[in-house]
Order: sequence, then structure tokens, then C-alpha cells
Amino acid sequence: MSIEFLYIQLILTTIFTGVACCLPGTFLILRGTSLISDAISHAIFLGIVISFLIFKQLYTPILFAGATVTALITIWIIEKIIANKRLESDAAIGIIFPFLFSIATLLINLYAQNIHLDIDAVLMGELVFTPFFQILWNEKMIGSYALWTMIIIFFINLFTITVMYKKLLTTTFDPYFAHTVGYNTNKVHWMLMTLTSITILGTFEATGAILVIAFIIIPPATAYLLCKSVKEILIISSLLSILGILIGCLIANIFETSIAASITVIFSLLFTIAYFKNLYLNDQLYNRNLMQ
Amino acid sequence: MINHLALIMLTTGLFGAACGIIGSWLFLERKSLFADTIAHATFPGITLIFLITHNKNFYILMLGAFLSSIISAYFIKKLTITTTLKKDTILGIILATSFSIGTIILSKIQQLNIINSGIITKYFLGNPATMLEQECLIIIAMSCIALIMFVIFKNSYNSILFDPILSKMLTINTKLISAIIFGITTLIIIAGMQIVGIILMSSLLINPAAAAYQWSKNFNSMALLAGVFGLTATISGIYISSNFYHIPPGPMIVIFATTITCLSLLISPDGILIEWYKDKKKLKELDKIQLLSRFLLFNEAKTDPYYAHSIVTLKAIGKPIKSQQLLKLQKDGYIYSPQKNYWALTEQGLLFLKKYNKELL
Repeated sequence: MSIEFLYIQLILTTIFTGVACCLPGTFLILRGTSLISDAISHAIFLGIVISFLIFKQLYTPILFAGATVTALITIWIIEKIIANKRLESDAAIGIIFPFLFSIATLLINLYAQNIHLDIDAVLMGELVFTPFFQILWNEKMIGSYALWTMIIIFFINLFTITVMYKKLLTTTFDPYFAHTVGYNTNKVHWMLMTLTSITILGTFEATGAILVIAFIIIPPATAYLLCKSVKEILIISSLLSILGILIGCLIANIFETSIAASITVIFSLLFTIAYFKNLYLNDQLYNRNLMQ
Repeated sequence: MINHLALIMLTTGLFGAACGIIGSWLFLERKSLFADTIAHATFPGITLIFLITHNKNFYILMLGAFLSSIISAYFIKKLTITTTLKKDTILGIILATSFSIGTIILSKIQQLNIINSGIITKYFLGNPATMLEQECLIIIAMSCIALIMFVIFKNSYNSILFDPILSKMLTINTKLISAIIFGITTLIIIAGMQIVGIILMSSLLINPAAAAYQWSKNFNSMALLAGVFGLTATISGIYISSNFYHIPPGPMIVIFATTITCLSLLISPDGILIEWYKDKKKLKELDKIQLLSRFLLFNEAKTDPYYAHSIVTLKAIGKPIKSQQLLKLQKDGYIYSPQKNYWALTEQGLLFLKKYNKELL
């Protein structure tokens, strides 16, 4: 197991994570429900803790299913509360996710004092350790669990979004028209939420509970400032996230800091550049309009 | 000398009340997630100022937190004005960026092995048990300042919130007062770093207000109720965590606060449970009216409303009838049975129907 082998795997894992996050992330920011991903990430934390306490091991399909179901139930509760007009959407999200997080913390403190589900590790993520959990095939290492999980999730996302592209687009921009044409708006919504939950679950180990939203929100938001069509946003945001990940890994290597955090900082820098370009373009357009 | 636990109880209780009262503005402004972002944005400030000064003093860290939250609020405002991005996307970007900067600085601090560097992680989930007497007094002072400011600026800020045009006509300085209220909010968030921690802080701001909103739509009573809820949540959370092992106080406070909200959503005057009960009652009433009005649908009833119908004819139209329903109506005195399998309206039943259904008669 050489260092290069591990490092390449690490970078590949991160790249697949980044691109897999961009695909649902684009539609989330277009729909204005991007912070629901924050609630999902906290719900998944609770799901992981509960499943871990019951089955006592990570990397089982049951844990995967349990965490996804917890996330979907959370979204359902949030939407029920909003639909009843008892609370605004931001209040509902802002109430639910600290609650889930505190329950998870409480459970860890009560039943699992000595396991590696450490709070700090959960908040920050430990991308560096992912290549150490290797899958063995004929006593040969063929890649880490995290890498294969992310590859599978990436292809699920890519496949679903390619197949459902038209439906997603119509339900995002004109839900009433989509309903008239006969698309099931509800179904599309829940499909997007399921995709997001699965993606966040895969990303969770790499980035931690809080920086998941950086991977989901920032590259599509950057692309949103630069592009004019959804296809462009999808492609440009994937490219931007690959670029950010490569630079971020390099910087993390030089300064010896957390990889996920440095990637997020690079994402923000890219966002800032895009922001100023957007501002400059807007000014130009404004001036041109004044001239005419 | 005051008992230390009592002092901590007093501090957290007062802080909880202040949180609830200030939070009712945030809740009505729909700024819950904004508060969450500001709370997370204190993290780089704390770590940076610790890295520079190597000082674990609470006020120095507080200064850093205050500055970084103001800077992030400025960025949020700037992005909201100049881009077409949705509001929650902007909040997410600022939250993630500030938290990652904090993480990087934290990892630098841990590498440099500065003394007392463990103090930083304390601010994630809060740890009121380790508060010193001095820190308690600071938090009490901050909560009192927030409460006094609330009383002073209540009317003017309410007019800014609910009727901006009126506030302009009254020549209220909108910008100054909004800035002051933002300052108070930040002050409360920073005071809460030690008690519930920066990650869970927004919950304590929003929950009491959301719960109080279910009970009252009047601002004054809502704010008062929110204060009471905040106080209850913090005091009971601290009490439970001090009496049982392995229970962290911050998460316990949040769980209590959320429980209060859930209960309010369920059992407040127009809560979920109460509404469900009312709906069910109404449905039963409708079923009763429908069954009774069947007696008047037939030709025989036009000459004699008290005509005894056979049960077979009654069952021939509409919803299926259960014999229990008929027995219940008989018990209430609306119908009677002159012979077996024959049912007729009583005088009381006809009066009851007349009240509801004028078309049939």
C-alpha cells in the first residue's frame, strides 16, 4: 500500500463526491430549498448513530437504509408543518435540525462513549482516513469503501437526472404547467429528496455534517452566476468542483490542514471570482442599456 | 457566597428568557436560518483571535466572535442586494465558508500546541458547568442589556417590521434601529456560545418564539410567553444534566425547547390535535344529519313526517347504515321504533332536522 496509491484514491473519492453533490445541488438551489440539505445532513447523523447503536458496525446496507429513511421522514415532517401554515419554512428547518443533532449527541454521550463516532470527527469529517478501509478482492486491494460508494452514488445521480431531466426542469420552473401536462410533481420532488439524502449520506464521512452543504451549494451557486441554462450550470458546476477539489487537496497537503475545509475555502474563492465577474458584467449591461 | 449551581441556573434562566424575547423578532422576520448562520460565523472569529492572542479569556474571544459575525452579516446583505441567488443559498454559502475557515484555523491551533487549545471545542456544544463566576456575571449583564434594549426599542422596531411606511412617516431612524437590534441579536448569540454552543444556538432563539406564536398572535403576549418558554427550557435542561450522568446540558436544553414547541403545535387552541378533534366531531354531526334527513326523502313523508319506514327502504339509498347508529339516535330521542325493523322520526328529531335542513321541508 504505497502513499501514491492512497493519495490517488483520496483525490478520486473527493472528485466523485464533488460531482455527485453538484447534480442534485443544482436543482436544490434553483428550487430555493438548498438549506433543506443542512437538515438532511443532521438527520442522517442521527440515523447513523441509531443504526450504529443497534447493529454495532459501520458499512452495512441496513445503516445506509436506516439513515436514508430517517432523512426522508425528517423532510416529510418539515413539509407537513409548513403545509399546515403553522410555521414558516425557515423556522421549521431551523427547529428540526438542532433537535436531531442534540438527540444524536445525547445518544452518543449516553451509550457510546468510546467509539469512533466522535463529535469533532462528525463535525469536521475525516477524509484522510477513508483510503484505509479497503475492499479486498482475491486478497488484492481494489479501492476503499468510500470510493466505491461514491462511484455508485455518482452513477445513480447521473442516470436519474439524465432520465428525469425534462420533468425536473418543468417542475422546478413551472410546477403548475408540469401538473397540467401530467407530470407527478410530488413524485419528482421526493425523487430529488431521496437522491439528495443518498448523496449526503455518502458524502457524510468525507466532509462532516456541516461542510456537506458547501459541496452541495457553492459550486452550483457559482455556476449559477456565470451561466444562462440549466445544462450549462450542471456542466460548469461539475468542472468548478473538480478544479476546487484539486487545488484544495494541494493546499491541504502544503499547509497540513483539513482537506474538506480547504476545499470549501477554495470553492468560496471561486465563488468570489464569479461574483465579481457577474458584477462587472451587470455593470456593463447596465451601461449599455443607458447608452441606448 | 452564592452556591455555584444556583448562579449558573440564574444565568442560564435569564439568558433563556432573553433568547425567547429577542427570538420573537427573529421568528417574525423569518430570520431563523440567518441566526443560525450568524451563530456558525462566530467560529472563525473565536479561533483567529485565539491564534493571535493565545488568550482563553472569554471577553477576548467574544470580541472576535462579534467582529466575524458582523463581517458575515455584511456579506449576506451585500450578496442579497447584488445577486439573483436565493436567500437560503446565500446563507448556506456564508455558513459553510465561515465554518471551514474556522476549521482550518482550529487545525493550525492544534498543530501549534497552544496551551488551553481544548477550550475552542467547548464552544461547539456549550458547557455551562465550567463557567466561571465572572463569565456568569458577564452573561447576566448581556441578557439584561438585551432585555432593556428590547423594552426601549420595542415600539419603534415593531413599526419598522410591520409597517415600514408608517415608520418613515414617524421619522424613525430605520437604519440605526435595525443595526442596534442586529447588535443585540449578535450579543445574545455570543453569550450563548458557552451555554448551548454555536451549533445549537439558533434553536434556543427560534423555538420559544415558535411555540409562543401558536398560543398568541399578539406581539406583547407572544414575546412574554416566549421568554417564559425559554426560561423553562434552559432551567429544566440544566437541572436534568446536573442530576444525571453523561447528559450534556446544551443538547438537553435544545431537546426541552423543541419539546415545548411540539407540544404547542399539538395542543394549542388551534393546534393539530385540537383541530383533528373538532373535525371529527363535525363529521359525526354531519353523519347524523344525513341519516335523519333520509326519513324525509320518501313520498310518504310529504304527507306525514312521522311515517314509519322499513329498514330495507332506508338502507336502499345513500351510505350503508349500521344498526348501532340507529340505536344511538334512538337513545338520544331523535327516532323510535314502533315495531321491529320499522323506524320513525320523533318530534325532537324533526325539530333538529328543521334547524339544519330547510330545503327538505
